[in-house]
Amino acid sequence: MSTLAVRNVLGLRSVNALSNVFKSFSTTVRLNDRYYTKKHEWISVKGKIGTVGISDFAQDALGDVVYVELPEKGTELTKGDTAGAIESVKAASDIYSPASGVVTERNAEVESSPGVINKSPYEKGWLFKLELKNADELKELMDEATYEKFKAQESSE
Amino acid sequence: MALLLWRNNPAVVIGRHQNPWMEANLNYLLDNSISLCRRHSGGGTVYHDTGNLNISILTTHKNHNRRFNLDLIADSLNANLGTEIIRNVRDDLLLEPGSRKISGTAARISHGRAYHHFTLLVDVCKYRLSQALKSPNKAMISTNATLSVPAKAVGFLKEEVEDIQIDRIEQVLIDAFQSKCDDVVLSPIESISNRTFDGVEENLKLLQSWEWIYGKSPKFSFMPNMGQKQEVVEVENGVIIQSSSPNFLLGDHFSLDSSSHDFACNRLLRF
Repeated sequence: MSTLAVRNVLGLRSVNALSNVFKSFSTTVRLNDRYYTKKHEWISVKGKIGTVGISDFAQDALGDVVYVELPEKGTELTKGDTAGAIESVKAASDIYSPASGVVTERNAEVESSPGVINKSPYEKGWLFKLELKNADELKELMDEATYEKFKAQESSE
Repeated sequence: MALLLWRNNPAVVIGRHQNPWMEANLNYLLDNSISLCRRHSGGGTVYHDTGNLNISILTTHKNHNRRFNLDLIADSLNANLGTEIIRNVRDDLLLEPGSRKISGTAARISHGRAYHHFTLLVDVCKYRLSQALKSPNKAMISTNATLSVPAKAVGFLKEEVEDIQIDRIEQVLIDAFQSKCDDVVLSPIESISNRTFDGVEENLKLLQSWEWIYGKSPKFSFMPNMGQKQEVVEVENGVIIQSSSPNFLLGDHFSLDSSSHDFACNRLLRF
């Protein structure tokens, strides 16, 4: 039975139950897909390197980004750690690392042109890359479909 | 939700990602016993003294709503004082006529919680305010740091209500928020320590450190001789990382004239 069919059958359950089902039936993390956190960060993986950014929903909620504070190369992050901050016209908000690892690169383009995050949150507006410590952590994150459901549930609360 | 109302001794408060050498006249601050602070939230630079009321509204991230707070305050003050205060697109509060800025807003979101804080000028010496916020070094610094947007005009409530007292304003604000909440507890904060506010002492130590006040400035280039021989000093984390000027040595804390971290830290946040 494919993962998609299982989700349809259990369509009436809560989002959390769906993510649990997804976890138990999907053992491989697909390359280059985005996985999302409840705090609206995303991570996409290529080999051992994860690229981290914030979702379109997050950039829209933040408003125009005016400054990005990114972790230094070499910083060791644990999943959920504060990795930096994004200042928009509305607020200075913390960003959290979706996974554990060591920072290998930060995006110089968003440092000099923070507005790129608003215009291109998934492509040019990536924030930093890290060498993953434990790829299994990604299974706890949401895929695209689950994230959509999560957002819908959050907005109705 | 928590509402905090407070005032402090003279200080210039810069936003999280700002450059103090661009935002304030640090020598003027030193000569006039005005502290320099950097806050955790974003936004621009403000001047605070006891003629300014600070208002902080702490909520969950979900319930964070700056415009609601500002409209509530503006409406309550207008109803009570007969003033005409409006909120602009930048979430400033302006006193009409003349669109005089009496309040600037900033906010912070972290770990599912948020605060919105803003100033409210009740009575201030405009000359002192403008001198404190006028940096002589702006043209010499190149940076991605966030820049303040200077107000076209500055005002304060006493200009419209001659006999205004800050505690009357505090009461208006308390009444306004009280009307929107059930189960209200009002208490004066007598002491600030880890006993009453867990973790506050560590935060205070951070806020008083040179690393926070000066070192957190986004990297910048300083060109001391505009128009003449082009010397450049590169500064990152407040430390000189490159310099073609004999007056600025590699590895030193960046500093201009007599501004120094001792002054800033010692005068800060006395309770």
